[in-house]
Amino acid sequence: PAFAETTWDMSVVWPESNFHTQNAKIFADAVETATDGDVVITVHSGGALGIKGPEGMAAVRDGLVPIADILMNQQVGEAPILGIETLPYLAPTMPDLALLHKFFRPKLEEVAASMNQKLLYMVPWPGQAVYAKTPINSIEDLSGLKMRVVDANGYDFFNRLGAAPLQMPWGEVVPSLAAGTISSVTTSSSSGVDGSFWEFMDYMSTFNWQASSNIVTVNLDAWNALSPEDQVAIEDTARRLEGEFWLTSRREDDAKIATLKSHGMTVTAPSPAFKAALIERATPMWDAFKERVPEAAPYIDAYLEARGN
Amino acid sequence: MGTVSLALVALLAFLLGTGVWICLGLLGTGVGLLTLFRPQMPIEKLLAQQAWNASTSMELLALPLFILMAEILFHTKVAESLFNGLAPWTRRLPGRMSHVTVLASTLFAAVSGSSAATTSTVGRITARELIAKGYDRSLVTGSLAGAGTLGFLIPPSTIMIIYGVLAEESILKLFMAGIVPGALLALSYMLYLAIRATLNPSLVGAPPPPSSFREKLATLRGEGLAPLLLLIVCVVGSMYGGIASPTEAASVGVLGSLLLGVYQRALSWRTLGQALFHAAQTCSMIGFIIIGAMFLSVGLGYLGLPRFVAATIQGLHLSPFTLILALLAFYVILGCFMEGMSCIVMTLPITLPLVLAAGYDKIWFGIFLVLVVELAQITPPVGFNLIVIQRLIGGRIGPIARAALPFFLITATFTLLLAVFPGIVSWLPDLLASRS
Amino acid sequence: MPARPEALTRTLVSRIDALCTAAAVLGAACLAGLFLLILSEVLARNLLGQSLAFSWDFAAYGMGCCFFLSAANTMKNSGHVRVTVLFELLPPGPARIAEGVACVLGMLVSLALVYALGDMAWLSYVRGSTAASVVKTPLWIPQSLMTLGALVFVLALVAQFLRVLLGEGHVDRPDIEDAL
Ligand code: NA
Ligand code: NA
Repeated sequence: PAFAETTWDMSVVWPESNFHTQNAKIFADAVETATDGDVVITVHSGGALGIKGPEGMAAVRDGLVPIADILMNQQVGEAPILGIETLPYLAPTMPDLALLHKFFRPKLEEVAASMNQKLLYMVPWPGQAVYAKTPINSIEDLSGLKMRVVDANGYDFFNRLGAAPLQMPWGEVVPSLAAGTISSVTTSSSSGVDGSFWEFMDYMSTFNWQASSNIVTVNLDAWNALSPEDQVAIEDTARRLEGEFWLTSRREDDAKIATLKSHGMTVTAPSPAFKAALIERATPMWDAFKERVPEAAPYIDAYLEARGN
Repeated sequence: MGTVSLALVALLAFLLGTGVWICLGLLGTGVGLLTLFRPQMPIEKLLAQQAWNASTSMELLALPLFILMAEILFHTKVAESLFNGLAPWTRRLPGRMSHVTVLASTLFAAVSGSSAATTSTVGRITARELIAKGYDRSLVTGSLAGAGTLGFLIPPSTIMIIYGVLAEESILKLFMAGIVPGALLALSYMLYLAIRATLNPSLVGAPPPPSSFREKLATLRGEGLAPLLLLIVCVVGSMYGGIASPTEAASVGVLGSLLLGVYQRALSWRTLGQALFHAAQTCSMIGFIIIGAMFLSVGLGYLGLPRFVAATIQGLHLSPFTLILALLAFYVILGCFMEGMSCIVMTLPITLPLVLAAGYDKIWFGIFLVLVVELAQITPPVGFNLIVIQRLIGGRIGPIARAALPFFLITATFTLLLAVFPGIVSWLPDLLASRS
Repeated sequence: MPARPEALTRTLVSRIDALCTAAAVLGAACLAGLFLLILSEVLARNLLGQSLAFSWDFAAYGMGCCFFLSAANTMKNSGHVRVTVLFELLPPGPARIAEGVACVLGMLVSLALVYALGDMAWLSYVRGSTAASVVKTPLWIPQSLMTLGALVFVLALVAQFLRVLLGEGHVDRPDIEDAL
């Protein structure tokens, strides 16, 4: 790397072994190869550059880092439309999400450009499950459940379902689970393994009620300083790897669920009737979102029409 | 990197040496280094971001609450009754009431997740009282600095939570693993106090008059230890009883101290206002230092210094024990200039694989890191416990750091002991794992 | 120092001191507020079975505002920690000059802080940035309160500098730390 023309520090807030971090490292290596060593990316995991989740796009815009891996829905404070894919049951499966992205991606690129950055690739997290100390097989089972949620949609959705959702920093979650201050958490299979949730809860229901993706964006000033050949090489690399990263995400979910099971956690999926009831409570939230963020409406409508409902 | 390190030491020495306030000295050093070595970077954006993040971080919220609790308790008769209550029990103990600081810190560490909160709460209630009772100033400040660090080692612990997330290790197991080392370390501090007091009895205050067992029992009632014990039961109970999260338990503590003050008729609107003002000032002082330390730490991260040194150690291919020795030295030096949590976040991707390859496990390294962060709390110039103590009882940083040195050495030796006997760490978590 | 400028300086210092106290009242209110917010969350959850969506967020903003709004008063009361060895080693004259230099250096750094925070608050306002959590708090509100606190803090440093000119600096009050 001594002869690299460009060195980029890449901010990633996830731990070193998280699959998004590993993806970023694979991407960094591939970029170095594709640009013949012109562009060398150093991945800083665990938020080591002091950038917190909701600041990702702002940090790339301001040039604090040239490139970052960013949880898209955490950027709603800068652009509310970036919360689109976290609407409950809007795009619960990977094919759904890919279809939603087909319509939404141009808009996302536009939002990114307005924040002086360029989208390179985006990769979804495994779906959001519900972990609890008791089995969750019906809406009644959710009643009054003290459940930790991470965003406004989670708060709203589980309130509608009769649970008692609450927000608390991640650092408070484990002691609170141990003491019974909270009895449930909604998060991905990855985070369930990260938090060793089997130590506190016996049941996991694969609600998959919410999708969320990470985006990797690059600052436009840094991008424009590259040679056209390097730009093409990086774009090609991003396009080629994105598909692989989606498969990694699916494998990640399978592997993490297997880990949860191997530690004795009972993993179930909601029955068709239960799922229908959940979706029924979710759809009014889509309309509320379209009302609050009118620019999102055309993308949601186009996606739903293409999906056939 | 040599130039960066030199510039770091020179700038910091200049700003702190000329008497610039420590928080501003740290900020100034960070701004200066980035201006020199990263001139193209939008430094003002980083400065604002770090000031915002550090001062609105939810992980920090327990700190102002515990500081407020200590301020309110200061106006009540709790300190007085704590000493009157404990005096008859410690009569025959070598070191007498000097142990109160260590015991109170250990107890409070089980409630609070941070060392600064532990030090400032215990210090506010015990330190001046002990000095007034004729205990040696240096012994009191040193033991407070040392024992205050137990806040991180005895669960709950913010450091362990961050490490657990980054290293993907069970936070519960880390909490369990901290208990035995925490208790042993507290005992080592008490042993040291006992030895010092035996060698030089003038270091501790005069013995209280002898008392009968009936009189001793009376200390547990009414105006004696009862109110304080009740308060601790409320805070711990709300946390372990499923009523409040650790930070929320701190607010229960504030409420409890308010009720106690009202019950003892020790609080007027005036004293309450004073407590609030004084607590806000302490918070502001500590908060500004945290902002300065975070900004400087992140700035050094952008300059690549911690990663560079960690990678250099990696390149040395040391034997397991020399590796631990080198890492201890590395973190102690880093801890002089950086905030402890940042040290871990920036170096973990390099040091964790090294330590695992040397045959230690993740739990062990977690406890090791907690201990080096504790050491960083009591090394100048960026030593939070030293600064908190200076705020509490005055005096200069230098003598406080010197007073803390024996406790620094005890903790450092203890850390190396853990490298030789890793079983001290793994015993309790293994025991609990085999039972379930 | 001649009599009239000295009187003016004293007036200025006392005005700034009053401003520091006013900011500190706000800072103390923030501290009380964050306590009440967290306590309300505990009570609401345990008594009403309902969490308050805003408690943690607002408490965190309250903490930031408390740090900044109380900073000036803390400076006034010599609550911010510094290394004072130099002032004690030098003879009184040079010591006073050194203390003045420290004040000026401190002022420069804290001016950078004001600029950085003000820039952040202004851009948050212009861009309409909000929190990403349940309550979409406009970020310019807590950020401008923090900027205000930092601004008063600069003034407190100015007052400190003027005190050194008037001969009331640390050098002339060596026991200030014990008076706390
Ligand atoms: Na603790
Ligand atoms: Na230190």
